[in-house]
Amino acid sequence: MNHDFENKLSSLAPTSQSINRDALFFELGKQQKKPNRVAIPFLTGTIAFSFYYLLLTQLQYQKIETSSLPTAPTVVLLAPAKLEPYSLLAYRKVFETTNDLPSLHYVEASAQVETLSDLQKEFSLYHQ
Amino acid sequence: MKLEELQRFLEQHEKCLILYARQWCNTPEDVVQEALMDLVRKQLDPMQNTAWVYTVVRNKAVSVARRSTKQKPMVGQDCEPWFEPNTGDAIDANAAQLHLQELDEPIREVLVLKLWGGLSFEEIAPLAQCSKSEAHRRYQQGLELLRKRMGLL
Repeated sequence: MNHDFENKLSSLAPTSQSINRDALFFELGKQQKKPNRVAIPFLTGTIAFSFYYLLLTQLQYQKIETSSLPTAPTVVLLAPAKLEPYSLLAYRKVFETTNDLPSLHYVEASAQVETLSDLQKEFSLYHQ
Repeated sequence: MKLEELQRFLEQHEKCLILYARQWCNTPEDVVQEALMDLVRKQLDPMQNTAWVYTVVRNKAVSVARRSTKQKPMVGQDCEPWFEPNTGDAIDANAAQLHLQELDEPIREVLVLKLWGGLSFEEIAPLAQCSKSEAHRRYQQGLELLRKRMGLL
């Protein structure tokens, strides 16, 4: 009895003027165009972590000053060794990426670079 | 959230959400529109957050009713029809509305959510701020009262 009454009641269709679906779908489209809210903090975190790691890595590697003058550029060696000799192109690439630091130049060095003369030799190779 | 999901949710719940909001305020479409905008902005899956939508609609409807001095928390006699005119051997729509309006708000709320929203008692309980068993008790009591008042015993 109750079940039948329930069915009859629920069969009554609520009246309504529909809501503005166009506005809703437009908003949905807008939200979907927004950058992913999860990805941005993730990427920011990844970049920050990479930068921090790079900084630590730099500190661990050999640092050789090319001149005692404070205004002269300082060269920091990033990588300890590579099998192939560095090309001028590679040097430029490294230099350009750090161009905003006029007193500090980052250079990837080969395994032979251990002393200042090695470094000067390395530079002479770059500038050939 | 995908467009199809939102469309499916609207097909299923739009009318009941408006009926639900009508329990407290006289601008139910606006209230439901705002609640659904919130849902879209938060990028929540509508089918997974049905109870959340009903909660937002309830809060907004109560808030609108409180803000307006002209509107009463209890729906007045001059409100819009709640149901489409009945066809065939269905219950008289006007009589159903009249007797629903006479029910106490907590009982009527459970009836609306269960009968037209298709929500489970588990979903209704937090909305009606009661336990699951209390929601079930209110539902049965509401059905009995309606049947008696409509002379269908």
